Amino acid sequence: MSTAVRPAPPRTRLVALLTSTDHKHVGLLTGATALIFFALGGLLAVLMRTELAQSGLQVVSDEAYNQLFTIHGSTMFYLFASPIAMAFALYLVPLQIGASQIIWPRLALLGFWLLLGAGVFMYSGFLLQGGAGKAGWFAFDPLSDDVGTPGTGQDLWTLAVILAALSGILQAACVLATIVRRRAPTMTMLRMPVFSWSALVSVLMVVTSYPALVLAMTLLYVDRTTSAAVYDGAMGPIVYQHLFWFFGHPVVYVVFFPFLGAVAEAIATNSRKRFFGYPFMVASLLIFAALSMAVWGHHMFTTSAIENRYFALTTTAILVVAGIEYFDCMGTMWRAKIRMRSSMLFALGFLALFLIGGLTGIFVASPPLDYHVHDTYFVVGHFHYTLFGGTVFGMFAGIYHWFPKVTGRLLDERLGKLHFWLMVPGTLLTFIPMFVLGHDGMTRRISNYAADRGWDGLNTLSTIGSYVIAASLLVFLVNLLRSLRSGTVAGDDPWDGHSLEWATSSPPPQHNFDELPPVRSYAPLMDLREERWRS
Amino acid sequence: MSLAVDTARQYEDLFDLYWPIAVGVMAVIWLGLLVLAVRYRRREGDETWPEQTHERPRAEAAYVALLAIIAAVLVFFTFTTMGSLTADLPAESASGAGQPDADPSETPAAAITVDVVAARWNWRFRYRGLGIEQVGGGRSIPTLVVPVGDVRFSATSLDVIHSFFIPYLRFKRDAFPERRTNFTLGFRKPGFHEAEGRCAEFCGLRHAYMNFHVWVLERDAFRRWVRARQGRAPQELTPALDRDGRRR
Amino acid sequence: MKRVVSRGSGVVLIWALNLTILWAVAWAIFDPDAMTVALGAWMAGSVLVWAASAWWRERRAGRPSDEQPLTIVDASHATALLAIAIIAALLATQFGPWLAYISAGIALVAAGGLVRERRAARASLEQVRAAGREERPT
Repeated sequence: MSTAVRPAPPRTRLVALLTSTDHKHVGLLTGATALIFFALGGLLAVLMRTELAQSGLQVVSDEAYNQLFTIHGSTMFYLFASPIAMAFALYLVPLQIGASQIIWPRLALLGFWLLLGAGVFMYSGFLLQGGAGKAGWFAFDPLSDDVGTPGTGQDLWTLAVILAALSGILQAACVLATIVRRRAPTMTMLRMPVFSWSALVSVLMVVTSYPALVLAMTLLYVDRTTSAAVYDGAMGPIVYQHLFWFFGHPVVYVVFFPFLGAVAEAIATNSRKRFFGYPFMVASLLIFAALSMAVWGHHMFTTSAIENRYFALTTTAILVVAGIEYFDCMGTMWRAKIRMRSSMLFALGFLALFLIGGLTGIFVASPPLDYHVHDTYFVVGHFHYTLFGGTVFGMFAGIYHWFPKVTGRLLDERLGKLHFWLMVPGTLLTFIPMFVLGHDGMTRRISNYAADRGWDGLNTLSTIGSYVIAASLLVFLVNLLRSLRSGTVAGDDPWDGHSLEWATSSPPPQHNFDELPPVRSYAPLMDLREERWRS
Repeated sequence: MSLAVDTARQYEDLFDLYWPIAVGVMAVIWLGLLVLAVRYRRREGDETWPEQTHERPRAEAAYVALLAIIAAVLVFFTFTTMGSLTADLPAESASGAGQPDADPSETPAAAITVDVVAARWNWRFRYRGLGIEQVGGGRSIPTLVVPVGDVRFSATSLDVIHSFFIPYLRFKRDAFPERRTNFTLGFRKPGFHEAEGRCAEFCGLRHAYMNFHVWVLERDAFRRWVRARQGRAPQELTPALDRDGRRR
Repeated sequence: MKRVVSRGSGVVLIWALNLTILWAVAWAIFDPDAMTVALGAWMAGSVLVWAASAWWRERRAGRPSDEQPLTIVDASHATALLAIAIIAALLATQFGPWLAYISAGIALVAAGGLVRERRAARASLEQVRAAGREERPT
């Protein structure tokens, strides 16, 4: 079927694309699906912010608002962030480690289809009587059981989460097995680029933590649809929270690490220096990922049911490994000649904004501080700086960096910079007021607040900020569509890249490489350059 | 007066340790990023490659040690604070709940115990041994009336998970069905806090409105209130406010 | 150490040891509840099992090399059908057993398709091997 001529791959038809087991196609499909859900989840967020701009109810009812934040959170985690992290890993890891294809390609494809099913299930709730899921993205039992939240919408939500979790496990298993078994012969683990390392720790966490979510949700579904009362009794709700957060905390790192890796690649490439402190970075990623498996209890500080001290210790210890990441990223920029492309700007935005989330994370890691700010807007501000300031900024750094490799065309730099310079003030304006509001006692998941609290002004600011973010994302959408059609042709290696994916064509051929350059370090293309300088 | 438990004070003290460190770190890193981005920016037309320095293991190890020290300091003070918070008692299941566990660090002043019962979407406060019950009505929210000093609480829920939150005391605890969560709170000054208490755990449709007033009385005034309150209808003798805080 | 970290299974093992230490700290120094202990044991234990299985496969298959021919699977309709069967089976719990029968039917077709794909892959691998023998007579 495929021809031997390289540069112009045949235009793939939809059915062929939807059944393709090429890791690049599965990665693209998963990524595109995730981005569509990102847009939908964002739309829900804008609706929520519009409702919250002022005290009182103006736009939606209490009932509808509960659906909005439930589906917003669920979309962003289950249908956007986790899938896009897997999409980046599926597309890029085989290229970076010099593999011609992944192990278990059918499972990866199956993962994409299950994700599609999850999305349809979750959103079809809006069309049903009683509406979509409305027990929060965490769906604590007993609120989420058939008495607490009856209705088909909530049933479908539960099934959707099971499907999304299975999808993540399948795709992560493919990436993990590929890294372990399909590296190019000279690609030892310690020669893997930083992004591949970050993807590795991410998929390790997926296969360890997501099964707990599948278990929690399956039991919940049985509880909802049969007469069995799985989570009843004094311990039931606690067991549910343990299972959920055993997934629910690792997932925030699952969706963080790959984009930390993307940022590392963007900084190294744009600085025209190989990444700084590689052994420290690798060690810190492994320890970071292990620690973040053991911090789930900090979501349960106010339950009086767990050993708060242990989880306070593990959570605070994360600042050490996270600090190494900052040192290495900044070390890479030190004495460099930095090209300020959009990918670099988003990488810098990632470092600057994630920092706010990271530092406030140290606050909420301390139980006595968490007793006050838990379930308030302080926490909402905190995790939006990790997930939006971190994950989303890192994702855009990655998209601007790898778009030419994937499509063969460059994204427009001027629109990219406009996108960035709108998104940064938008992010500050939206989420900074939340710290003040939360500290003042504004609780989460409320559609309404009393006028005499004095919260109107800050909420209005936050809402304006969310519109600015929406505008910046529209700029990106325009850039994306324009560049796909008529962007400048990129060539194989437009950025003077460091890792193997830049040694093949853009987009890469089905078997990825016609010829692999020698691999002697984590930046094989830099090795070649240095050889040329020496000779 | 001295309180055995002063959650607000403990919170503020710990917060005052954390925030200068956080602000300091943030200033250093933001400034560092700015300096790096400006100082090592590629000049127009410069196509040369920079010097390839890519490790400084000693500096990095020293930096890691510094971070570890910061983490250790924060954990130490967090643990110290937790040690003085008598709220950190293990929960017991409701079936076995007679009196809450005796807490050695509690002063005898903590004479009264309030059983907090949460149910969608209102609160009920039962004063143990006093025969008093404060309940919210259809349009009104209840008032938690307490004397100045330490008060014991034992919270539970009749349906889903709720969370008993008094923002000005910087404290909340979850209330579970079939479980009791015990904690002690110290009330420093008398005063009326309108709709200050709220439910912090999402509990469904009217979660946003599940609030309560907090009314702190001097000890004598509280005794008078108890005497007058005993045998009366629940809604009387508390400031009558509707849900929006207006006096009826 | 460097030799251990250079192998895929070595890295997974190191990660498993990290998790074991964290679990041991909880267990030995603190006073965790039963669920914390159980989940900690799962995270350390399951990763240890994966490390062992990766190590076993590495040993059995030797180092990955260019020499081994690989079949590249380019498409799988059966996988898509299987996904539809799974989704239909889940929906059957809401809308009644009739959907479960349909799902089972689709799953059967999908299984047949998977078997056919596997056979085709094996056949093409044989072809490549045969061609390889012809090219490099020993």
